[in-house]
Amino acid sequence: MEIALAFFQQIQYIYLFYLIITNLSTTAMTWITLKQMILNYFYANDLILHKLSQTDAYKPISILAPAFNEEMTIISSVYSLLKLDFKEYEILIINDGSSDDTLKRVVEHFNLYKAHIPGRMVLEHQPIRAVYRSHEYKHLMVVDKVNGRKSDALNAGINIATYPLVCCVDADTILEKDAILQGLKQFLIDRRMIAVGGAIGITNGSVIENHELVEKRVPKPLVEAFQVLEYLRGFFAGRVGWQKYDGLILISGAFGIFSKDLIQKVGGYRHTIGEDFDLLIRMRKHCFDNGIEHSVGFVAETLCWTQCPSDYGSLLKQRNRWHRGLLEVLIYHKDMLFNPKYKFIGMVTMPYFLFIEALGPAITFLGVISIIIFYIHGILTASTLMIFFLLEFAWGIMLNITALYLEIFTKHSYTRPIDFIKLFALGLIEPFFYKPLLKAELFMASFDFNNANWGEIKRKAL
Amino acid sequence: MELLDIVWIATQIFFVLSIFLLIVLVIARVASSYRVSFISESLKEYQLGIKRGIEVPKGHKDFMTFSYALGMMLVGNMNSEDRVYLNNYITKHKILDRLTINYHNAYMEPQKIYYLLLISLMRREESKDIYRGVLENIKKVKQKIEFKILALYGLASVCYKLEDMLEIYDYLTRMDSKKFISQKMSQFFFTLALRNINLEEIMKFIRHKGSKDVENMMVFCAFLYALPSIDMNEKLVDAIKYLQQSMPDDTMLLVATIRSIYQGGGDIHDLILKYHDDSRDVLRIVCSKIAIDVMPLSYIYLFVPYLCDKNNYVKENIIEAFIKHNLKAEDIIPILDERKSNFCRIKFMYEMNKIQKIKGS
Repeated sequence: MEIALAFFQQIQYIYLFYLIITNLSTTAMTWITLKQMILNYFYANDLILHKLSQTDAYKPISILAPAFNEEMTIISSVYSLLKLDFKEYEILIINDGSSDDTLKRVVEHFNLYKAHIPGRMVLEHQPIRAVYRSHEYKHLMVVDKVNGRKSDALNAGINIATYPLVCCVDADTILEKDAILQGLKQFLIDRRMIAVGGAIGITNGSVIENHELVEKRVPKPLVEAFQVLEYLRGFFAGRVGWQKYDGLILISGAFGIFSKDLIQKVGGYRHTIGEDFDLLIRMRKHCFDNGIEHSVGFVAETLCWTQCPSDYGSLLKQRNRWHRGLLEVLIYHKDMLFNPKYKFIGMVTMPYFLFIEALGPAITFLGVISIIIFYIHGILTASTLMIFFLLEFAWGIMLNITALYLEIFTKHSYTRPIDFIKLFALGLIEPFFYKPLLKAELFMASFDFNNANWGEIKRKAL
Repeated sequence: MELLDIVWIATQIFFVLSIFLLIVLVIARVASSYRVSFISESLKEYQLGIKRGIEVPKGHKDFMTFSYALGMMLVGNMNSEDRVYLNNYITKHKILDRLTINYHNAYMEPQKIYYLLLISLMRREESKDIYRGVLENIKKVKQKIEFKILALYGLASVCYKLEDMLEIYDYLTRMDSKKFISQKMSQFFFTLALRNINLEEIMKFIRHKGSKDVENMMVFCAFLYALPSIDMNEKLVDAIKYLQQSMPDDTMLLVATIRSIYQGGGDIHDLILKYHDDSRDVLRIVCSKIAIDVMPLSYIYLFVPYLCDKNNYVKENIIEAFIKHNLKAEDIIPILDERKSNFCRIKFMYEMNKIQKIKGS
């Protein structure tokens, strides 16, 4: 028994250490983001970049949107892409062998015709059945191919893409009108840029009229509203900070602009569950290995709006997949861990993702067990319990609320007072309900590592 | 003191810090909203006032907004009369002096950047030393790229003679600039710089830089890409062609030359005829693309064999050129037959039929 108690005491120390590191790093990231926001406020480069975009000195871009069973959302998504405020771009919708009417709907709605479009087989992918073009929208193309998952569809799109930059988006997303311009700025300012990401918002509950997001609202169902808060915290208190120290290794699959050349050099998307995570790490690794000076940018404004799972089943499936993706990528790139060759990424970002993100759920689980065991044996002091409470819940609440303020401070997406009150209230209860639920699922996902299942998520019409 | 006690104290400290952070954010939020609404309300008011010749506001915040309003007017479209009026206004009210003092006194980098932007928007030659100072001395700052871009923007805005242009070129070709500033951004600076430079000076620049500077091809090509923003006469086109011939064979330079002359409306036939069958894919693509627009029918026939090009873009471009010239498949087939390219013929027929069908529908 003594040995078991000694073991759980060690677990408690690890759990304590984990909580302190998690909260400290999130607090630090929030500070960095706040500082960055203030800096951005002073920057008026926008004026110059706006002038630049009016000249011929811009880079054209190919937008790739893989679609698998997206019949509910595809038409709205295409319209939102057609309305982008940018001079020269092409849209490639890649129908990845959908079993529903995705292709039929888009072909009929936009009156598409079959065309012969050259594609270079630089990256491998499942065969393309046909490519469609539109009479009305010259820059719209639809690629119909045999199913091969998202990564495969993106590889096909990259082979067909004409322009030097590719913007990979999810087919159910609605982009802000200036999203491409905002992302592209970073490529124009800094020629070392290899990829740029942006913050993602949630469309659920918002008012969409004429395929445009006219009013952003916090959704009514709790499961969706919690995710709004979670996204705010994740993007504003995470990615901005990592980018600041050149440690960004993840650009969300929902919106990311990449150098096509470099994607092709690293062999395109790998067929993994966390393909977006994996791609950026391989791109950065390639640059480090070949002595290429590079940089990854992040636009701290919501550039893209996507649908989140609207029921707990779909949400847990999605998070399970994300966690499996994370574990897979970390194992695949284990040689980068604590490797000084990869600078900040090798020494800080990757270890952080391993200990905090990947092992976090297991540490939390064992930590909670240890607290229960200590309580049963009557050796849990009130101050110990208070420490865990403050670290796990109170601090978490604070961080939620600061993330909320950061969003309001930067973009002010949610303008209705009711949304603000709702998010504030959710911030107070999230650490007690939503977070433990997700952590439990992620813990389970650690044992489901070999499962390559993507998991279907229910979508609503836009 | 036990470990738990230390953790307990640390937790309390961090918790208090979080609350402090929250308070800071609330204050920042309120201040920011106030400032944004102040700027949006004052901007139009100031712009109207400037036209009426109002006094420059004394307060720091008002002056910043006022200068921004003035800058917005200066970068916008306006007639020369208004421009002269605004320049006189800036001189009379010593606006640039005040901005320069503020720039030098600013402690925070973002503030310095903001003042540098306002200075660059004024487009005054007197500010050149500030820009030079930034480009020469800026080392230990975090926002190095932003400072440099603004300084180069400022320099390009007041570029009136060959020496100015050479100065911008030299800054762009320095190792620390080449590393960060993209070709497109360089093109933008050259586009700005070329506005006020006469053709003779530009030709001198081409002769002076182009023939020597093989190491900075990317920057030189950015300059070539910016040339179509001015009226390119025959002399200039000849100078570019001469330069291209006198330099080592470089794909980037060739593409930039061809595109620049084409976009500037110069005679490009000779270069297309020379490079349309080049072994480099990119050259054949560029030539075939431009051929659609510029080549007369008699020359288009020269492209028939390239219907079998290994590059699909070349094939597509040529087919498009045929369609533009209303060429029918029957006109092309004998030439393809002559070359015994059966596969090519089938592919060609397919493409022609398809495109003609589309055009008809």
